[in-house]
Amino acid sequence: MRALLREALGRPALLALALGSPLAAGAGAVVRAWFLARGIQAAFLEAAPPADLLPYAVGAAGSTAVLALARGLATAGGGALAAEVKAAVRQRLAARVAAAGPERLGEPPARVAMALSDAVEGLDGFFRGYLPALAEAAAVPLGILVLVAGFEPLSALVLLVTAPLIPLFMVLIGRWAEGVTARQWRALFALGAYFADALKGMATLRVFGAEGRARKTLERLAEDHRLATLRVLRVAFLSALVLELLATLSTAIVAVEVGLRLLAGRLGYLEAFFVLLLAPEYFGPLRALGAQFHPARSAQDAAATLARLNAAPLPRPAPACPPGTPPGLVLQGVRFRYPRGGGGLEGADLAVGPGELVTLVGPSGAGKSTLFKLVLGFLDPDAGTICLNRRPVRPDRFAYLPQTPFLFPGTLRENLLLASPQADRAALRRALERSGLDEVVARLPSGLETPVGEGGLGLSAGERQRLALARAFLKRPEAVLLDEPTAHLDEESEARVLAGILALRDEGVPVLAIAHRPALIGAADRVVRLERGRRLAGEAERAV
Amino acid sequence: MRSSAGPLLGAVLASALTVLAGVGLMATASTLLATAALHPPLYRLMLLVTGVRFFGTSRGFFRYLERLLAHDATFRYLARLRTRLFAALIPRVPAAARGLASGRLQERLIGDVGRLESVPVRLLVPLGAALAVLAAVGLGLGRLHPGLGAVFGLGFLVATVPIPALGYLTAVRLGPRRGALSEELRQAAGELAEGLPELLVYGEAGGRVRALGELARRQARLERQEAALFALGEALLELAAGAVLVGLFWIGAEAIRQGDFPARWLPAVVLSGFAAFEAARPLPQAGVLLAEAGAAWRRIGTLIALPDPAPEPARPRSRPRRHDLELRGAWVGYPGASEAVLRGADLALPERRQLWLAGPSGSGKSTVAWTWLRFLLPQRGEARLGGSPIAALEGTEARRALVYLDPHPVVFFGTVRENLRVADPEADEEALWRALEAALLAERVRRLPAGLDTPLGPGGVVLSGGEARRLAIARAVLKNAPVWLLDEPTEGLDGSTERALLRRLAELLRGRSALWISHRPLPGLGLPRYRLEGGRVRRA
Repeated sequence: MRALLREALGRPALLALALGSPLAAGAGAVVRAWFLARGIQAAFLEAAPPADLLPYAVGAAGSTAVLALARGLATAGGGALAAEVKAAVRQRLAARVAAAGPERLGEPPARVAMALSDAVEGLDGFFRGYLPALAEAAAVPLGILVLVAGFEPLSALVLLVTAPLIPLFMVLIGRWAEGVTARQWRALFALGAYFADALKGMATLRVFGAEGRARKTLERLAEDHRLATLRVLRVAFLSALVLELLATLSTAIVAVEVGLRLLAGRLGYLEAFFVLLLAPEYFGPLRALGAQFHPARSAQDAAATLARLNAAPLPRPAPACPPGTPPGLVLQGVRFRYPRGGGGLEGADLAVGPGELVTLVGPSGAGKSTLFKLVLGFLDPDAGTICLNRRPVRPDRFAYLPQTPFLFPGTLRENLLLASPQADRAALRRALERSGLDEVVARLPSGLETPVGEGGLGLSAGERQRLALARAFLKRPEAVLLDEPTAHLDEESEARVLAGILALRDEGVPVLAIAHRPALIGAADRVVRLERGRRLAGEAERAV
Repeated sequence: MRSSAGPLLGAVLASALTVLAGVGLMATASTLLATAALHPPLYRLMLLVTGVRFFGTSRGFFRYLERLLAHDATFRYLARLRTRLFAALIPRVPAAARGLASGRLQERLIGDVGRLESVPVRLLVPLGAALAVLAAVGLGLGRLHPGLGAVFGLGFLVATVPIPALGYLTAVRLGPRRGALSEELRQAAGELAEGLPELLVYGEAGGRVRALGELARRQARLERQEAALFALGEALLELAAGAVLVGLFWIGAEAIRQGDFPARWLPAVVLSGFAAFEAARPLPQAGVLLAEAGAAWRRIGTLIALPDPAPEPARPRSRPRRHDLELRGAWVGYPGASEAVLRGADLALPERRQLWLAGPSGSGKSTVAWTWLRFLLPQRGEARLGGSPIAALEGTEARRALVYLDPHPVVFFGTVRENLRVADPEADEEALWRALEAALLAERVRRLPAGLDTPLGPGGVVLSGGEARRLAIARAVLKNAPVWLLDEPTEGLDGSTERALLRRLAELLRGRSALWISHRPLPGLGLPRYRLEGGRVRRA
């Protein structure tokens, strides 16, 4: 929350507008109440002629204009503040995500994406609604209280006693309602989930002639949900009753109290009527603040998520490579422990020379993936050095084929050019040929312009691997890392991808692959086993 | 299904009464003060004191009623909307609205349904209440003095028509741009997060961060515009309320000078008109809701207006005894698509025979199955079941002899038992276990916390891809149909599971007809292979 407030303080003009305008509106309402009270007194008790009433009417109209302007500015200012803060938070978070890399964030990608879109959006209510309401609730009732105390202390006392009850009740009720609605939310969720599944599974339902039954189930679930929810709401909405009662009853008590004292002649009409007019202005901001309880709570949750991600560690500067390090990819005494335990490396040594294909084998959990993340620079080793051609590694010096290469929504060409935006036609053609992607492209009616990814053509696992290979050929990296590139492929596709990998190696690039399948292991120049003890058994095993 | 009209009307009434109780409170309270100022005997005040207390307490009661009734109306409307929509979509899914089976289109539909179901209540209750208050207070003031009624009515109408219209226009003008922009932002965020390894490796992360920042700034600009327009509406509403206040004061003062009504009523006249404005406050938001609901309605409307891809025959033939399946020079396409997927395809699946249909993804392999399932009909040529054209059969009749294994098996929200009984609502305990046994899933279900009654899906047990597939097979076994259409039955399974499942399926299907659709080889089955390419089938 503190970070968010700092963000708002960085925009003092908007902040002043968002916080100051509600106060101006409150002041406008008070001034208008006075003009009105005075005017009515003049018309009713003094039977003043129109000319004498005119100043009060003009005063009330003028203060209305101030009030309207201030209300408008409050809405515009709060909205602008929320918009600017969200944009800034988004930009900063995106930069942090990119700087930290996928592994240091400590959250799965889907959660990171949610944080960037939904969590940031969750801040909206805090700046647009809660902050202005808080400023108004903090200052306006207090101002009115002081004002009333100046000429009518007893009414001020009534106001003072009843005021804190409203936000207190609203928070209590808000908390309680949260629990209740959470339970009801599950019932609604069941209904929603069944609706979604029934749509998704319509083919299945129709195959079994069950579409009519599904419709009935949907009807029954909705009715169940309605009855269950109404039972709960009957109790939950008592809160609305209590609140409404507090606010209106307090006004009623003030009215009767000043009325009786007026009758007894202890109070003038102007003062009494002025107090009555001020009572709604006094309670209004408090009720408005209570209504902001929920947005404020969700903004708090969102802020916690964002703070966690923004605190993700950045890459540490890597130590220089020891003199005499050979060219190629060289790991020396690499140690790594996950902060939360589980897996890791305890002194790994490995060298992959230029033009060499080394496959890494070993049981799952032996640390193969961890080693890849370290080599790519997505994690920092606790000790040891990782060098590529005698310089510390950085992600952008590699080509990398994960198990399921990511397809960016866009055309096939855009996905390829990611690897090398300036690639010319000849380079593109060569990459297509050597990766075997040209066969895939030839089958597509729109060729390289075919849209892929979400909303486009879903490429098969083998086609994706060939695309990733083509990216690798385009980039001309200093080394290539492959994470089980043939895991999901049929034999035909596997053979083609394998040929591509060997072609890459033959260009003189060090290639390191994680593999389970025999074909890739068989094609390796060297096979290295990562032991359970998380120590690399050097270069013990040789390929047959 | 229960109609929502009753509770809706009740909510409108309760909402109007809530505002009117506030009007009553301010009117009696100010009359109390005005009367007290004239120092009458105390008993003359007692009725007014009672009135103040009555309105002070009744308002909470009305508010309670309003909220309860409004929610009841919403839930009733929700039930009706969902079931009607579902019924309308039945013939159109999966063939006409193909995207609905998965992904974005479904997400959007469900979002739209969510937006729509609360709208009638959130729109009609404030609108109805505003009109009721306008009528009640306007007529009341008008009877005292026509000028008062006119000022109030005019101010209130400004608040109920042009100001919500401004909200509506703002939402109509900026809403779609805002929606598109936030969709773009969501996508950019997804690409950055999910594609981060590739982006870092290819040195593109910085560019993506800048692009996302640019989108965020554009969104901020749009939101500021929107906020400014809403602010204008709010300021106008405040001006209208203030104008009514001053107008009632001015005309009221003149009226008491003329002796139209007692002078001590003046404060009540001014304050009741002002308090009635509470009913107009939710209206600018109602304009925005109306715009959003309109967009949601249009999207849902286009979906249910899709042509039925397989209309039922006027005079259906009775179901044939045999169940050989055939395509004869069939041209089959999807509504709205320019090109047919099958272009003169021939394929025959005689009784008790099995074949493997291969072909690249997108070539129309599933379309063959869907045509035989009568989810869509050939535009030219013919699809036949047991010698009869499928078009002449009723859909449910045509599907009676067939089961279909979806490439993405669906686990319905509900228990294991409910999931199995999709196939046969009457199946007894023994039949269910036999089917689970046959699908190699009995062991797993026995180990579940509540056996057959274990809830599946989010909040319950989440089945793996392989287990979901076996659940689908158990369903198919329960139906005990002579013809099986298996669409990519090993998709997403790893080597050993794939082989075990294929072996089991081969045993189950002995003596039945089966169409195996797969782009991958099906080791150990030794089936005759057909290949679908360019919209035609050829023997490979």
